[in-house]
Amino acid sequence: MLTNPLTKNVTDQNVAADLGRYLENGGYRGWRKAHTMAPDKIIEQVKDGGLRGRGGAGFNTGLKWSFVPRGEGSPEQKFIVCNADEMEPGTFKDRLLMERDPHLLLEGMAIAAYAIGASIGYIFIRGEYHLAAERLENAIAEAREQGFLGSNIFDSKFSLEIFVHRSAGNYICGEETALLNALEGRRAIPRAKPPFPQVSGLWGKPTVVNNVETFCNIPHLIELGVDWYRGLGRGEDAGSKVFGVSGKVNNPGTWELPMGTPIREIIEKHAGGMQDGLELRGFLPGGGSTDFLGPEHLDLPMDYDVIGKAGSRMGTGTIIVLDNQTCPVGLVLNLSQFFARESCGWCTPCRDGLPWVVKILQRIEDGEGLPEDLDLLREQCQRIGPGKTFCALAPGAAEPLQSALKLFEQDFIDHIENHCCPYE
Amino acid sequence: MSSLLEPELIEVMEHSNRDSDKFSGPLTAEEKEEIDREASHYENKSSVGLEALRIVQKHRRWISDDTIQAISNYLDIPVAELESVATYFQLIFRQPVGKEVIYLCKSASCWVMGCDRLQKHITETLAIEPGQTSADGIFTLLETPCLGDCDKAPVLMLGEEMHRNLDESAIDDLIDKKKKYHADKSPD
Amino acid sequence: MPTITIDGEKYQVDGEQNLLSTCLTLGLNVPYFCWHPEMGSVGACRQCAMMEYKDSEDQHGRLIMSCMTPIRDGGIYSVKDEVAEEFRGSIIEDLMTNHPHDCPVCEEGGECHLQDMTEMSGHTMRRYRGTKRTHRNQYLGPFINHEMNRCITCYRCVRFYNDYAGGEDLQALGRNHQVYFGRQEEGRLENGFSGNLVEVCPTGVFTDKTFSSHFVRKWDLQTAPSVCEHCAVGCNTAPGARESGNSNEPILRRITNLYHHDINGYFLCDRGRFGYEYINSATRIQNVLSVRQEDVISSTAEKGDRMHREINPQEAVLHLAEQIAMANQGKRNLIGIGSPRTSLENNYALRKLVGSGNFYSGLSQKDQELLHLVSTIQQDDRIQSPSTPEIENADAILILGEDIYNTAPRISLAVRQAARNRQKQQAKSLKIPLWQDSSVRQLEGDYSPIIFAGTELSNLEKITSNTLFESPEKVASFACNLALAISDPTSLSPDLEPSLLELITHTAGILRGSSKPLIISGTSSKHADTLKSVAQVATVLSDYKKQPTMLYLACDEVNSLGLIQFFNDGKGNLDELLERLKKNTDNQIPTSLMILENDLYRRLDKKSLEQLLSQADEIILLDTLLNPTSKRADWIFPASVTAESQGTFINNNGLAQRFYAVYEGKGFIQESWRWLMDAVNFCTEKPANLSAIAEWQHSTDLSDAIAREFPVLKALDSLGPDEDFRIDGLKVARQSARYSGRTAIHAEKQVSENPPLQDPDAPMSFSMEGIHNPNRSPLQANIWSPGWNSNQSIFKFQEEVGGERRGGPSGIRIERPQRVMPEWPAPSTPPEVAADPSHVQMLPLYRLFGSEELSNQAMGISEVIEAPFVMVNHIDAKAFDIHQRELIELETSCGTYRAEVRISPTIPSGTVGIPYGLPDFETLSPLLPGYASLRPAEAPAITED
Ligand SMILES: Cc1cc2nc3c(=O)[nH]c(=O)nc-3n(C[C@H](O)[C@H](O)[C@H](O)COP(=O)(O)O)c2cc1C
Ligand code: SF4
Ligand code: FES
Repeated sequence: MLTNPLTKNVTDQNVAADLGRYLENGGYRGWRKAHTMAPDKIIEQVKDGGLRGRGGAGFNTGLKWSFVPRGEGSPEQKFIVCNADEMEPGTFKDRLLMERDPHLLLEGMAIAAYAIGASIGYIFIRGEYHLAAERLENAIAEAREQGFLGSNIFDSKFSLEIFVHRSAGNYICGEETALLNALEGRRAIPRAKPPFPQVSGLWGKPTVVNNVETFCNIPHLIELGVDWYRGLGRGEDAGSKVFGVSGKVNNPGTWELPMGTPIREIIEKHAGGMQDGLELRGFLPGGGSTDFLGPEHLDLPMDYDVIGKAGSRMGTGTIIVLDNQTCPVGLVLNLSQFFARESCGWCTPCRDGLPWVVKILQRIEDGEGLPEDLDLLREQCQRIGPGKTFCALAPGAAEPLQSALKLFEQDFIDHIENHCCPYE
Repeated sequence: MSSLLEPELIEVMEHSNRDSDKFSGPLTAEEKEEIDREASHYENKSSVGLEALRIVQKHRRWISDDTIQAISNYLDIPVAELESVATYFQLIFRQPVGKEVIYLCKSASCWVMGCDRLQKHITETLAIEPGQTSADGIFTLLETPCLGDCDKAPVLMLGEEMHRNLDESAIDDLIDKKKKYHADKSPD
Repeated sequence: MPTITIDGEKYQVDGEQNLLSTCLTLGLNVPYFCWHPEMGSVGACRQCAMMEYKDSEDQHGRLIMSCMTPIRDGGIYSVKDEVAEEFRGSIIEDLMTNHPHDCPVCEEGGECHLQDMTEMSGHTMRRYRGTKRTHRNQYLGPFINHEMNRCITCYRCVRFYNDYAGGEDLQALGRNHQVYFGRQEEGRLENGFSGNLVEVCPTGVFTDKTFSSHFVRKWDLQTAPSVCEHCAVGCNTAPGARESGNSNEPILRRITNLYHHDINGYFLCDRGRFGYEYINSATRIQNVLSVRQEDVISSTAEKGDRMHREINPQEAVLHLAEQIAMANQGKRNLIGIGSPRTSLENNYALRKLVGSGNFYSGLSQKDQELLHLVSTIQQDDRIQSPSTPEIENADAILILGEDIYNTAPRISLAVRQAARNRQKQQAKSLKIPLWQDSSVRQLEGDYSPIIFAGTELSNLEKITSNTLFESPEKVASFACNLALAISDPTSLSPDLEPSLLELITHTAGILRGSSKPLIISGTSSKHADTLKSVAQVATVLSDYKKQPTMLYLACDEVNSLGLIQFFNDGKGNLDELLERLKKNTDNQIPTSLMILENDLYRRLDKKSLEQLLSQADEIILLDTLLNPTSKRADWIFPASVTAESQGTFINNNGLAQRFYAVYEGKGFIQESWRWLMDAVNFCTEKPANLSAIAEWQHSTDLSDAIAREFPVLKALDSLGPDEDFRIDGLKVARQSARYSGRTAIHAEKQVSENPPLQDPDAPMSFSMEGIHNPNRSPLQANIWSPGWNSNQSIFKFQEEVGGERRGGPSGIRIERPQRVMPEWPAPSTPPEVAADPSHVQMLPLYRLFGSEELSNQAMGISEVIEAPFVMVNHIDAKAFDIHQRELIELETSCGTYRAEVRISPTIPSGTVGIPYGLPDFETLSPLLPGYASLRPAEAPAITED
């Protein structure tokens, strides 16, 4: 039974699986099967498969698709958009999938487009991913040539064009509604929700945005079915996932593993454990906008709700490890600088609150912090929390900060009391 | 215009933004052709403005006032509207950059793995702070958000090429190689 | 109607509004920045946070942004909840990290929404210890100051300027905490509604530069409700005046918007906002002048020009009294010339004085005929004159021969909103509430159809679906054919050019298929056939749809439609006067011409006018500004301007509106009618007409007399309140309760406090004493409410947010008898002739800045008026071998004019566009439309002959 549907074509070589190799390995079978199915059935299967969005929020993908208005009176033009803006600190999974197996993404998008009735797809890729963009463009050309994309695919009435859209930077472009604005050539400010993109998205037309990895799950889920897909997971959640570890471990990297794989297994077995002489103090389980967890959480399985209950988020499933010789205040400062700079400038708490947070943290790191600064930081975490800001960027920024203030409180106090960074 | 904004990434180089050098002036046939091709992918003209900025920058390294005017004329999009997106997106440069742009990843994983040390080294070697261009006009140093190669941190992107698992000596090699390359090329 | 609970109180509310505007309607104080009553919600500032509870059990609630929250029937909300309150305070604290505390030198101080909201939030202590981010400012032209450091990034400016007003040169630039609101480079903000930024920006980033130059705080401004005099739309304004530091005499310091639900709503155009400065200009007449008798040895003045000296007013009034007495004895002809730019009252007074047979409109025959046509058309019950909200709701618009951005600017802003109706329709079908502004705008629905046919279209071109640039003759013929196509498409001539036929059929289809079609036209193309055919389209459409057609007709001047009511027989124009004087029949006795607030050089071609003036033995002028006519006058009386007087104007919709004096003019300035009355009072013998005049005491005595004498103007009777109106025994105060320094102002001359000036005309005092609450009196123009010092406080005085002003709208429609308009013969189709430089048709082109007489003298505006030009069609230009910017000469029946060529692809071939009323080109205006010959300029410059 296939256990690594996402990376089965990925080798040690930094080359993309071309169409030939892709087909040899069973490529486009999912798409062939899907186009004979009723769109409703595809959506149902994706929903039942329990695939949750791999972009960070973990929303059921089939359910998301089902919100697209269908049938009479619904707009004719619809869009499918792939979110390939990967810029979350510590996240490096979509790059791998796009560079090594671009057809898998195209196949996933084709199935999704067919399911929702979209005839145009865009891959919104961050401007720095030159190689991935090139390989995707080549793959699109190959797929068009062979009739997997283009007009009247498989001699049906269904047509689909996919374009690669290179972005011009900015983390906020990954937020799906800001992404739509960027795609429309506007300033990438997030949009108010409702209306959700499924109803009024790109140019006001129904649009589904999914993450690269999410799309990559689709072909096999359709081809091999719900039971197989659900069976891939080790815990509560279905399917497999590309997990990653960065930081001072012996063997940083990415691995496709079953959902529900315990964190310890990922860090210790796959990433080879901590480098010599270092201890693990904590980790961000799913990228820069998730809460720190501590060593006590190492045995938790990587499942959305489990990690959620532990007080963090599964996010992108790429773990950043903090060792005992790296300053947690410095790391949080670094993350806050990132978020403050990447704020789109739309809403007050994010735009003006984050630079303030940065200034406070910088002060503490420089040994000029005051005891009351900690309360101020805690208060700021409240102000930029969920529901207070226009989008999820600032709440994301609050997560590492608020958890660090709990987990590493003594480090903050030491900085303030000793008027210097103890790690320098 | 961009000089009104606090320079976020790039500092203004000595020569004026208005100079019509080879980075300015009307769009070339090639640029127009590329813009038109890209435009055919979108329903609406508004999308094309940003694309045009990106495309033209590929040819001219940066977007001067004259260039933005040229794009405005070609696409019939108000200059202010183009300026609004040009100043919003960090990969559109409204000020001159060197021949080689060093995008040094400053995000979490690279920070843990020592990107600050690399930055200090680059700053000392080339005598430039982030946002500045070296005196020989070859290198511009920019800090960039996570480049998505965190398992090989610290990393940087030079032009369009990724360089991974870096240390000081790797940086030295890189700089030397590029310096030599540009020295060999006829001066421009 | 849904019922909701806010902080324990139950309310029945309008479910269409969001929670924030519902709270404001209920009179609750909820702070906000980015929301705007007219522009809706975007949820950026997070200032309007409230709590929402799931049900009565829910103790914690959820923080929500009230501006983004639709009303839920049975919903439970709180403004006062501690969490919400604290959050609102935290927003202020965040904003203050960058806001400079420069209130003492900020023009917004004292009426700053940011100050108000800061107070309201309860936020008092700031803990930020860092540096503030700073910006450089831009030069934005003579109207608007830029101080970016004060910005709180609410995005209102760009939402107004770009989204609402269609401006293209102001944008949000940059990102994160460095967002910058400015132009792509320094320079004047080009959109004609830029002045609204001053009121839209909640802090002092965009302030009124003209005001800055003679700044005082809002509470030190004396105000009264007024009506903008710079076009005939009739926008309501709140002019503000105050004594100038050393001369004691008050000067007008600024104009702000005065909300009127049916006309201007929240916004004014820049001509209306910045045109006021003509009042303080050097050309202002402040004293009584008389012609100098001594010989002038040498002078640069033109032949016929007079030199004047100041004289004692009494001398002049006595002289006037003598003339009146002579006229009574039949020894003198007294002829009065009225004006469309002054009140009904002033016109009436002159008419009463000279008698209706001797009273002339001050309009040329052509202009008078056009106005007469407008009034006739509006009298037909198949025609309905739409208000601004009705225009905004139209689902298809046809504009014929009127460049409304330049002739009725506020109406073009309304048309711009109407263009979005399809998009709004789409939003409704997606259940997106219309106040959810950015969500509605992201629906790129097509624009609603807007079809234009005329000479020139400014500002609206990007939102029109079809345009036809043609001469007035062809526009009229297009309209005629359109009328045919609406009633019976088969009756169209098969000879029509295919593209024209297609446009006609398309337009007919649009108008027939729409449910709220609107037609816009007016007098500015000065072409009667256009108006007649427009009327025909409207009536045919009305017959087809069995409902009155909305037809907006724009007239030239503020009281055009008022003046014409005195001339219901269509007689009394200047051409007739010329004929009469030329006939010489009553030349046995001398003639005095009394000209009321009118520059006749803008009315009649120079030759005819000189002839007319030379027939008079004496010219008496009552006016506000020196102008070419004043150069010919023997006696000049300083007349008060709108802001200095009380009276009535009738706007394009036939709405009679009263304006009240804001302050008393300088020097000897007074209302024209008072000069006449003063003179009459010196007459010993008083026949009936004179004794009526002698009895006038109040401006309202004249209004009442007009109402009695002219049944169509009966409405003036009910306009009010009159001078005897009192609230709790008190008048309404023109000065705020905290008007400062009133005892000190005159201290230089006299230490005891001067008694306030008495106002004989209005129930208003020129002091702080009296009623201040705008809710209790529609007369209050100082819009202020405790805690709400900026103009945002207007919601406290509306029935609901965006609704009628409490106490009812100002103005009453005049009741003209309903009459079916005559059947006019179809205009003959003009023959096609090849363009010929020796015979080009000159067409008027209007300019927001430059075409209107008074505002042209305003300092800021005079800076931005274009230089005169002659606009030539690009194909003609090739044929005539003339080039862009080349100097050319235009030879007319009244002399030669010289200007730069401007080449245009849209100006109809065979015609040239001439800017109407532009300085140096004023005397050309009466010749438009007319013919001239064109040649390259060779000889040294001579203007006129
Ligand atoms: C600030 C911010 C940045 C984001 N960046 C990304 C991103 O780079 N890639 C991505 O797939 N999702 C990103 N997301 C999540 C998207 O908004 C969206 O949830 C996701 O694309 C949906 O796809 P999925 O359902 O397949 O996960 C981001 C969200 C926020 C708030
Ligand atoms: S300039 Fe004024 S209106 Fe514009 S964003 Fe700043 S505070 Fe708001
Ligand atoms: S007024 Fe509600 S968020 Fe600004």
